[in-house]
Amino acid sequence: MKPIVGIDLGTTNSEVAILREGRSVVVPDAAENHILPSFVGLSPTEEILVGESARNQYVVSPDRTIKSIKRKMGSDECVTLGEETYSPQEISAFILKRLKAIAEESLGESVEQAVITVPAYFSDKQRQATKDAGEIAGLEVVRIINEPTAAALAYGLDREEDQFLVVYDLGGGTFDVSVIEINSGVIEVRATHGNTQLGGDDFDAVLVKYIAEDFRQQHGVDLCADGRALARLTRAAEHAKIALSNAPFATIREEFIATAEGKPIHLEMEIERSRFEALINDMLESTIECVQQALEDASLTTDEINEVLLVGGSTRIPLLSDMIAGVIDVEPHLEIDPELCVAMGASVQAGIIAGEPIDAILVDVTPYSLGIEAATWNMGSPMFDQYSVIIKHNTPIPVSKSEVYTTLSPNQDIVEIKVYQGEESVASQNTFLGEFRLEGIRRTKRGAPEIVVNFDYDVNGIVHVSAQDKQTGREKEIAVTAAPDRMTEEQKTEATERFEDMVIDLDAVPADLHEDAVALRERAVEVAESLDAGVDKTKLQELVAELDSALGSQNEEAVNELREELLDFLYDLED
Amino acid sequence: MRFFERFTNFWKYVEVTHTPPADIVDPSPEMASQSQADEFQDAIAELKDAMRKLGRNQLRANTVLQSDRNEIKQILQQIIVSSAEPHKEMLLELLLVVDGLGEGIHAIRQLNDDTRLDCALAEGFLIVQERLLGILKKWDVTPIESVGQPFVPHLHQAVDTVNAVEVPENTIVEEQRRGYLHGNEVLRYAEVVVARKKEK
Repeated sequence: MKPIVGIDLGTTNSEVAILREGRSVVVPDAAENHILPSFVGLSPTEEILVGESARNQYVVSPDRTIKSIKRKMGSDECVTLGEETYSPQEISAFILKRLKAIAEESLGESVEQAVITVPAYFSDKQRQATKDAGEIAGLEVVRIINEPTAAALAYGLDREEDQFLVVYDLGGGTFDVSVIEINSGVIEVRATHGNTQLGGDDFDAVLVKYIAEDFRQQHGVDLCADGRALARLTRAAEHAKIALSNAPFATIREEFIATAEGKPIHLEMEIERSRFEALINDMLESTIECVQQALEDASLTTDEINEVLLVGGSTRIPLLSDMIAGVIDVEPHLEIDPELCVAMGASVQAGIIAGEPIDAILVDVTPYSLGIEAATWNMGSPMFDQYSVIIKHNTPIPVSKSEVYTTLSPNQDIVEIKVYQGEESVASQNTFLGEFRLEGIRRTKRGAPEIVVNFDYDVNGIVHVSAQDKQTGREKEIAVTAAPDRMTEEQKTEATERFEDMVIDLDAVPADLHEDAVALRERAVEVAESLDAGVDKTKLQELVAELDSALGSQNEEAVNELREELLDFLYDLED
Repeated sequence: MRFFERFTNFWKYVEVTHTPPADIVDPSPEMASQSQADEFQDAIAELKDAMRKLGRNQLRANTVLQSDRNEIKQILQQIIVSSAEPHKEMLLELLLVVDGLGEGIHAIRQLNDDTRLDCALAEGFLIVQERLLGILKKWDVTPIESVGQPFVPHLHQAVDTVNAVEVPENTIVEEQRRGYLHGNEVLRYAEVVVARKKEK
């Protein structure tokens, strides 16, 4: 059966996913990139470029490079590349063709069918244009599905009970939100809203502006005036933005970024998460308004929403989850990589069409929240035994997150870090995992020291908890093991039964027939090679050939018979 | 006493066998030992069968074990190879150190203050950078040539353009960030400024 691939044909980036043994996998290219920039260009040597190489030449040859063609899909507007004129469908076809090649390379066979996603707001004409693009690329488009629908499929929500959900998609350059209804496994978009000119790039831009202004005030040098310095600053700002999703502050350090009065100057700055959040707050607020508008359009109230799914790289910003949870009282889902989620969902749809068995997309997540005991101030007096969560439950692992805490009383030079796992707001009601003391904190007034507590959760469930006094650099660390799920009685009985089933009488039950036969076959080939030409060698080779065809045709009976025959033959030979 | 009884019983047995009913062929003493020999033969055959069964099982178990062992060996080999191969992320982070040294050298030269101290500093930085590049080269990481070369989008990322008359169009005139290859794959694109024809 020929494979059907799932494609997320995006405005800035595109991805292709396939089903491998029932699991959805986004296919990387030869350079291990999972994401293909949606750029098409014509090189100086008249070669068609797709992806990074096309993006690379955008600045030097904007007239020979096309970006964001998705915005033109369905229109009659044509674009030129060198001497030639192309329709938006043809440009998209170049991208699809590349994705097709990436999938073929990985699968080792030709790909002729695809499911492609489009925004929920795409008109029939735009959908038809997308379908045409697929056909030009040599792909039969078996289905066009909405991006939010794909996200719901990736999370396997079509197999759950009837419900309403919100899919919030904030990418690099576009934002949209959709309200979805799932009814008897049928997914329908009830309303959609958005801003086609808002995304993560805007967050980078405000951060760059902020840092440059701070630098100008300190050193009197405008970094934006120097292209080389600006490029470094932009990159540093983007890294800082990403770091702030997991830590309360990020350090920006760029050595020798400028010179003033004959001296080199370095950029060294610490950005607090709260500062960054304040910078992007208005933009995020505007997206929340869109959510409310979409709910209104769908004639639904916030408490009718069962789930919220986050899609797009920018949704990793923690403030965003909090803001959404503030409006709709559910914890938004971010378990599946938000940048790859739509392509994965498209491949799930492809699997449904092909009638393939599909496993849920499995992501290793923290089963419980992890945090420490802390005190909070309430009406001027401290409240002890409060649970401060550092890693929320259902966070994909491995993960490293930190938060900053401070002292409670003047001249306090010791803090006790008690690590808990659980969901109760009273710390001691959760499962206690371990504790340690950090001593030697600089004696000062209360609330002045900054104690950074970091949780590093690895794939084996080991959590390295460290606390560091930022001023003195003093640090202490322990490793605790996150307790696994407790088994219910039912699970225990089931596990015991399974265990008993596993204790088998080797003589009575042959091991996995297939594995057995394959191993014997290997042995037979080895033995045959060591034999001189003769009756035995010929016979062995014949047996191997027969076994091959029996294995190939999955004929269990024949495999059994040949396995026994081969075993006899080898035994006699070695006897 | 008992032994004697048995003995006499035996003779009774012999006697009985010696007075068979008329229709049964009289088995001779040789025949008696023949039937015993048959019994032995049967027992031997049975034992041989059991041994064969055991031997076959052993052979089967050995082959499966061997093939598992081969598989484990392969996996181990892969683990060894992958742990010896530096991770792409690690190489990229190491490049940041090379960049930092490069920025330092660039800054000292920009100062255009040809004191001997500055020259010596720049030289020192350069030696450290060279040493680091030497290590990277062992891992098959090599710099991408850029300045003076024609712009190739598979290797270079254009970050700016300038109007230049002295060089042909599409020639790289400045390298803002050096690019590197890892084997034949681009590890990081070179960020470059490219010459364009002056707009009319």
